[in-house]
Amino acid sequence: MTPASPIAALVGAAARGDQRAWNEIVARYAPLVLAVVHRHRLRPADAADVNQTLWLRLVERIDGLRDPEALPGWIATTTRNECLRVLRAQRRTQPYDPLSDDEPASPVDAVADLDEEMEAAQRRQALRDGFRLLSEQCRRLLAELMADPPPSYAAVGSRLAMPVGSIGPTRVRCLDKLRRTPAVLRLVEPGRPGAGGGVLGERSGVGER
Amino acid sequence: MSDPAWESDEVLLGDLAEALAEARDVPPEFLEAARGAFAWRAVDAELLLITSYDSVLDVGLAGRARAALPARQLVFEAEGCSVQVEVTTAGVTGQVVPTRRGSVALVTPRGPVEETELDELGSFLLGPPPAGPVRLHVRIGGTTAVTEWMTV
Repeated sequence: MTPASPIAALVGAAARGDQRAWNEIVARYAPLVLAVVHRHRLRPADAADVNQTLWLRLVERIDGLRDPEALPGWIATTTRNECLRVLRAQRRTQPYDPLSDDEPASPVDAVADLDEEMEAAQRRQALRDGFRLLSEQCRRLLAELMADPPPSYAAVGSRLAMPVGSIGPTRVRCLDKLRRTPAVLRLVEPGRPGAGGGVLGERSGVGER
Repeated sequence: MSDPAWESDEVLLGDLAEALAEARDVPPEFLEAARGAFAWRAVDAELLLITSYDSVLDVGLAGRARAALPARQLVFEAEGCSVQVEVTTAGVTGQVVPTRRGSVALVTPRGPVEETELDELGSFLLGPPPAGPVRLHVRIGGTTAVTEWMTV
């Protein structure tokens, strides 16, 4: 199992008990879990609980996973639900102070912001998934070029032993390849299910009996 | 959720840098906990009880005054079996439906913490749950059913 293994292969191997495949799934998607957790501003202990709960829930379902490609969407949605549970359970157990203004001015706005941040977190996951599939040359070049402040082509050329004149065209080519990786293309394809629940046989309508 | 801004090389490279930085910032203890979760992979065919109701996600309750909110209530279900659970600071109470004799254990990622027999109505009473994720193991007849992990 390598960083370039397709997610379906990793899921299949993990379902058969391969800890290394599971570790690779963790390495790949832990940043997505953390990104969603951070947006909810949980206390550190709660953040750790949500993280652990998410992975325990994935383990118990790894066998019946129908559409491994939709895993990032399931992870984002499930993490978000766990965060909401923690926040609402806390609010319930804390004494209510009518003078406090810790509620969002408009819950609708807060939800809209959160939706956008959730999508942004999944876009960043798609970029990581796409980047993993690029050639080593592309990955090294892009890693050099994304330094802050941006390095000169001359400096990059000497570090990577590349002719300075080829850096610009290679950069264009590598970014184009990134745009055409399956993970990034999935974001562009309309009507493709990916962000919702339901992909792991999860019941919808939880909490709406 | 496509991003037309990615047609720009600069924007795409900038977003990629952000995405990769995010991956470097994951605390090691989060990765350890995630890897460790694999030890809980179900090796025998346990019946998984899926959350079908959770009062903290109930939109109908969201508008209510906090003082009027009831205890946390959850319902877990699988084919032919349902477990209703109520969690308060005093403990975890619940009922297994349909009524059968058996036992219920409260389990954390470190192992079981408490086990009790179901009474003649299928009801049970356990102590307050520890912090962190927990689940219930329900043993009825020859089968073991487990609820999804939850943080209560």
